[in-house]
Amino acid sequence: MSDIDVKADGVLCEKAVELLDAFIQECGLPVRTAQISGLKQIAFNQPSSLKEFAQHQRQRAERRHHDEEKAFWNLIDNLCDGRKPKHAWSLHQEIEGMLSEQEKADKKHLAALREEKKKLCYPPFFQHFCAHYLYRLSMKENP
Amino acid sequence: MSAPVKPIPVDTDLYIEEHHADFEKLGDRFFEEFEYDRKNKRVSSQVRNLQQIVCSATRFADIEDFVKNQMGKTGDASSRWKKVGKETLQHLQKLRDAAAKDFEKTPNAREELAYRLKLARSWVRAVVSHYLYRIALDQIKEGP
Repeated sequence: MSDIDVKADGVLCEKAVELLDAFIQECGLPVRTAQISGLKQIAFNQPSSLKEFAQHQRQRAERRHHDEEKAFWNLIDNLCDGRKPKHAWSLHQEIEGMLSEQEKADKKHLAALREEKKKLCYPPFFQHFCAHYLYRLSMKENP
Repeated sequence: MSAPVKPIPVDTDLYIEEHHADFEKLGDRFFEEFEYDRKNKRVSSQVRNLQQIVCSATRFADIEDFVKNQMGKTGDASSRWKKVGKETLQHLQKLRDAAAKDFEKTPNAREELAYRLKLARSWVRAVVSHYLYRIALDQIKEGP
């Protein structure tokens, strides 16, 4: 049982469910199953590209005047990179919390360290997030 | 000042014993919704998959995610999961809550996770045992 298992089962799981439930309360379930699958794939295979993917999806939603969908991709962006005080929690903040003072001071290797932590944290977070979204969608269709 | 006393870990078997009737009810529901392959005498692959996930998981949330993902799919298996999934997730939440309660006074995330997983394995053993018992009764009723 590794440290990431403990984190994945704790804060990452809790935040994925809490923040998604809050979003659904406000905006419903605006994205399709296929988009959720795409989100999960990118989170697992290319976590560093996720922010860009979310921004691209947001722009598409904006062009189609889909406000709730735009809000969803805003959420994803903020989950990846939200900063205090506007965003109490984000994966960026969680990852920064995982770095020691020594690691933060090592400018040469800091970017690589952050990438390493992203590869650890993004997959379990988005696994929980996407599974919970599909569950909420199934409950909406089958109350 | 005396050293703090390490609490005696709660036996998962005791928890399972106290809630066994509830687990049997879920086993009944699994039998009603997933049935089994009567012709080839094979248990439902969905029940087998759940058992496999629970026994191999290193994260409790992987078990919850399995159920949620199955509910979110389309197809025959998913339609069955939609009928028992919510109840299954409620069971899993109770296991989470039981573990959290036992570690409330002496928090230790790693030990709590290990305990949650141990509870889950005992839980699935009880549920699947009852599901298999229902299959056995059905086969006795059906005759040779």
